[in-house]
Amino acid sequence: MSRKSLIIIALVLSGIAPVLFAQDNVTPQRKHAIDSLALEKVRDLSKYISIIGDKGTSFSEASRVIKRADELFATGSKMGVSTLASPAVNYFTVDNYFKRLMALNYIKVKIDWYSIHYISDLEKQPDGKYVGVVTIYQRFEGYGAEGLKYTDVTKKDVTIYVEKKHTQINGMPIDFWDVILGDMKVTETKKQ
Amino acid sequence: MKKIVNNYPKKLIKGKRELNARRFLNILLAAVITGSILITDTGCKTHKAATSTNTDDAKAKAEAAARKKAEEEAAAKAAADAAAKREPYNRVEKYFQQISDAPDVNTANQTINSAMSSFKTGDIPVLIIIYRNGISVDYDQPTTISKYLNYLKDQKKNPNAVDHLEMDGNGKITEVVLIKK
Repeated sequence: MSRKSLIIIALVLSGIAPVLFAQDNVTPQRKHAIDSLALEKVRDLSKYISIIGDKGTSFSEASRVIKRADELFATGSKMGVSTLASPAVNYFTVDNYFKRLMALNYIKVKIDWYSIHYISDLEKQPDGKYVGVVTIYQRFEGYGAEGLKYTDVTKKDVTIYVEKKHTQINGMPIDFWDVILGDMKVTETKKQ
Repeated sequence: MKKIVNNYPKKLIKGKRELNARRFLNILLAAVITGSILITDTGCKTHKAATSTNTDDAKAKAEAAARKKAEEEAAAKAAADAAAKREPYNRVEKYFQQISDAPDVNTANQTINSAMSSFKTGDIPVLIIIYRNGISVDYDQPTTISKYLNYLKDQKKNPNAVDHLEMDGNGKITEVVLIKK
């Protein structure tokens, strides 16, 4: 190979290399977008739980929403459930949790999540995944015929896994960030 | 000399005077005619120039008007083309907003059914750009239009704008690319 060819190859590579490295380089702006995306998934779950628990939601709608909520979790993920009556925390698979939520023995159920925030920022792990922990506060209100029957506030922590994945859409390669929720642990239950 | 002149016969003197007068008249006439010719000629030239200027002005005005009309027509056509191109985007964004703003599930479902007629199937892909910087683009997990419309209904929010639509030959949307607002 002539010296001239080597110079041309070097010039071409010097132009391409920064682009290739830039794609893997997660700038603060990009990281912020990923953080927001993960937090948004938790907020989406909050809305799904509210719809599933709402006694006004039809069975077909609740079933559809359960599927969407299920898709947010890693397979086999568990949800912690607590009451003021007992210090014990029971864990159910998310699918079972949603079905139990739908079948709660109240006339009306109101579930609100608030103060959703990271307690452990998304950090890149050696395997390339990002892992973080988000805390939420859940206000639960169960109404009977005579009015408010039970209420509590539960603090829960959920682990979030974010992984870059690759797929093809209509023949076009797409890199996307897959946000998966893990176990949801109860850390505190108190009266409202 | 005076004496000599005075000695001329009167008739002769009278004839000379007439001759001088005629000469004077001839010169005057010639001068008047020349002047008239000059004036007429100058007048013609001025008129010619004025006529020519008027013709050029009219031609320039007509050309400018034609050019302006052509420009206006081109701008109107470009605006119409842009509006025609933008129409599906506006329609889809309007559906998104109506679904997320729907007062109840039934209304939202009716709007979803109407919206579905714009798409080839309920399974067409929806890509959501969460971050873009030059050639570097980050997406959320791809979904389908059916799931996305229900997402808007469930979440009661419309967090993404339409970035790009792929259409087939029948004007049906085959792919949706959204971007975070």
